[in-house]
Amino acid sequence: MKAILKSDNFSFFYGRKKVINKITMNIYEKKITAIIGPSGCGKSTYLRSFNRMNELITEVFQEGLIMFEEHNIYDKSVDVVALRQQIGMVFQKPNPFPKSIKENILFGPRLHGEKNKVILSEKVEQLLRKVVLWEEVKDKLEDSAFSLSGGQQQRLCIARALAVNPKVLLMDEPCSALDPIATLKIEDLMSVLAKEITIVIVTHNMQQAARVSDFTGFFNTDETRIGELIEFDQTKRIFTNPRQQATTDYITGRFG
Amino acid sequence: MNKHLREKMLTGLIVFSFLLVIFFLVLILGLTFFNSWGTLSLNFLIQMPQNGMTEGGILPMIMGTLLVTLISAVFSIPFGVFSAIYLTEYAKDTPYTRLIRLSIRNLAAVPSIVYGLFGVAIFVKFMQFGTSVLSAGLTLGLLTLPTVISASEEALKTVPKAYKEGAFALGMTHWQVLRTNVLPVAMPGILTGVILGLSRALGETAPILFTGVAFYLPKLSINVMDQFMALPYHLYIMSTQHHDIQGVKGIAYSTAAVLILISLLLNIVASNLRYHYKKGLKT
Repeated sequence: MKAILKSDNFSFFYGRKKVINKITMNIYEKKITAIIGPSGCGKSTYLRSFNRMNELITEVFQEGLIMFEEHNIYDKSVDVVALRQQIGMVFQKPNPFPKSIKENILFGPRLHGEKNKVILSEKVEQLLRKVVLWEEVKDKLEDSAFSLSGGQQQRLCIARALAVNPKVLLMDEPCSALDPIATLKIEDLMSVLAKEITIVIVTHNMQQAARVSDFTGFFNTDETRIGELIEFDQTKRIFTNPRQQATTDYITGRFG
Repeated sequence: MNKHLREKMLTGLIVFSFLLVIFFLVLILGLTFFNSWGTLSLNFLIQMPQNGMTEGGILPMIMGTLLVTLISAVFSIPFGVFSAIYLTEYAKDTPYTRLIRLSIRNLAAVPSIVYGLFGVAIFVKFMQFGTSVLSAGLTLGLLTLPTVISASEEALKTVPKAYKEGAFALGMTHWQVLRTNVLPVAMPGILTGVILGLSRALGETAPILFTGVAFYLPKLSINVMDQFMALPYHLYIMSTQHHDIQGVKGIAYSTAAVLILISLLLNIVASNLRYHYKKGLKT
């Protein structure tokens, strides 16, 4: 099993405030890794460290390493734009662009220079089929992406992220705004996608982590509000026989 | 006081204020167009003034006004929009940038004559453009800038963060994100600001008074280094400085009417563009 992303004693700061402390864990290739933990434990911040999205908002600072395919992504020589193309992201709230369904998918490929109309239109169908949306939208590709339901929008956003051929897909609570049926569809989709790409998902929903993931990292925080990794292991192990008391307490619903 | 009575009085006051505003609006438009009756015609728009500006048309004034407005647009739109982009997208939120923002807001309220004085010092004298269309256009451009910047900034701020993040997450450069997902969404708001600013510039007299406008020029020139005649100044001359004010009343009101119509035209163009951009977005 190859680790595509490795974080080694990785700490992250917003300004001077430390938000996560010394996280060491691996993300294995073509596996689904879930990050769970109570609110404010830094799991989203950690996820967004992988594609360096945190630095868009404010002054940030980090210690330690995150290695992507053996390169430190925080190295000065790293092209952040290229990194984000390889490590895609799906957000908590579906965020289609104010464009047609088709143009949402083609947004990435077009800007990365693809002009061939045949390739582009094949891409639309292939990606919509992949996210199991094709049958539902094939007759209205020119309609606004906002005309879709929340679950459909989120699948469209997944297709849009896949359109630039990322190796890793980061999912930041992708189902928290969706109903249970739409949630199950996304989960099914994740299992299919994991045959080809690596997925990291942050979720509040422990059942979801248990259902879909191969590995689980449990984050927690105390009154210092600095997030730490309490336990990382195979999902099976975390949910049946965790090593730490805090993990047991969290997954049995005693807090969080 | 009985609360029903208070309710009635307040409603009355609101309706009265509204009607008063409408009354003055109708009065201004009505009086202008009523007094321009008989003078305002197609010929009036395409003829040179004749007989010491007591007859003929206002072609050079229209051309002059359009030309200076064009120059101020060419100057203020790109610089204004880019400054707004800098302030919203690049500048960090520090006390300095907040001070700069506040100063820009306040610049919009600076009396236009101050801009005129500044225009003389910078464009006419220091840069040696002389009293010309160029100097006047640039001065009006400066006057327009704060309005364009503030409106563009507000418009850029309303672009949902999700559009930007989504595009960044696909591996877009900052400029690609701006071009595809930010500017098109902010465009209707930016256009409103631009039109608001230009409409104001179009009717200003003070800033062009020192920087290039002429009382009367016998020939029509479109050279930007020449002096020019302009609608607002012509209106001022016709209503206060002319030797036969009563006789040229029709010309004065027609000039005012043309000024109003140009503003109106500008606004129609703007709302068409706004509609065009909104239609381009599939929301």
